[in-house]
Amino acid sequence: MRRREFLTRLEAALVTLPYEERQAALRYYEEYLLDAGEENEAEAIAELGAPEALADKIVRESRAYAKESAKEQTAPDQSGAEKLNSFSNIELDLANASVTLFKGEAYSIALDFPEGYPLPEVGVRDNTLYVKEKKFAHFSFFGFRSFVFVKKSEVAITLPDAQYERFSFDMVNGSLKVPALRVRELKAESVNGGITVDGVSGERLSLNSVNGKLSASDIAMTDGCKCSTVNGGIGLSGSIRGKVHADAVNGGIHIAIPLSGKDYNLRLSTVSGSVRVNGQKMSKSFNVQNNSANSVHADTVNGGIQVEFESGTIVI
Amino acid sequence: MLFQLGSALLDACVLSVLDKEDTYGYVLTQSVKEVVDISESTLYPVLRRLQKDGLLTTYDQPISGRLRRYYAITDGGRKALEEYRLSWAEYKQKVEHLLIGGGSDAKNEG
Repeated sequence: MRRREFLTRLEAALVTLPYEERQAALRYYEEYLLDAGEENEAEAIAELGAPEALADKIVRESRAYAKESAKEQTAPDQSGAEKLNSFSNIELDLANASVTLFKGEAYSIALDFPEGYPLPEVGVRDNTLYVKEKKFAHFSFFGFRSFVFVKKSEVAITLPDAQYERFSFDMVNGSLKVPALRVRELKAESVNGGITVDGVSGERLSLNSVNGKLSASDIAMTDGCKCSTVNGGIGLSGSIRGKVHADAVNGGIHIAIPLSGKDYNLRLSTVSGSVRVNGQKMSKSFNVQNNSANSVHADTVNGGIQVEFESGTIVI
Repeated sequence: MLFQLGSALLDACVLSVLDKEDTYGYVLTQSVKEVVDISESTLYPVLRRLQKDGLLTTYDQPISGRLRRYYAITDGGRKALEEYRLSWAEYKQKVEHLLIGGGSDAKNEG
């Protein structure tokens, strides 16, 4: 087996790993084989064994580690946090703050804003957590936004593991991070800021950004996923059923669904970049009509598109 | 080698190699293999875990038109290595006493 084949098979077998993890592993082994040198490469590949077995080891370790650290990960210092009544929905509207959700024992929110900066309004009513910045703050985007305050504002929301209904985040300058929670509908928009969603399960997911990378790893959705960004890449992985839609202008798109490709219609296109499906390079566009309710549509202008399904389920 | 290396000991070996000098994946694997008969596929998950735990860090060096990732031990890694060294000394003493019986009374040694 040659290096290229080994790495291609490894990439396919690592489809269930989150994007970053997969890239790290592939990079390690590509470098490893390059550093072995031409003389030793064949031997090194033989010693590594079947790429599928290697991938299995890597995935197990990664999962075991994730489980361990999830147990240890505590929400931030709760002393400054405000306890909240329980809620099933979140409506957040902030101009300049990064938001991170944490899984914890109870419902609480911690606001870390620079001195003198007006705090957003926080309240729970109708089973919904409202976090809304007071109107005038929107002017600060170009206006008086201080260059002295290097420290960014942070909002940390802690909530227990439960079935949530709808989370809606509307942000301007700030990133968003959501851990493995069960929420039927998750909608997030940030103008300048990346959105990272890890392990979320539910029905619908919608992520939008102008300048920011979108990453939804290890997710499980039953009714589709829509990701759209201008400057930034998109990484989606997990069991996503329904209509999967990803579009970017300047950024690559990587979608990995560990299910059978036969169950999806595909429509992929890029202007300057290449399209790869299960490791195989296509021309600048690729369409497959399987008359299915599930589909993957990915479009980008400057960037490559990589789509992976369960090995062997794509007929080219 | 008859004895299997437990994962803690493997971590300690990796940290020991890096304590001497920074190195990259391929060389690191060969160095550890000189001491312990591990399979090539064992090392990556170990490195990944040590990195996530902050015991080692990485940086890239350009070489022959590409980047090569080097691994370096961190202060956290050095601390962990110290602890491993102490645990090992204790463990080694006990095993030796059991297996070999110890001519001198190992229990009374400091």
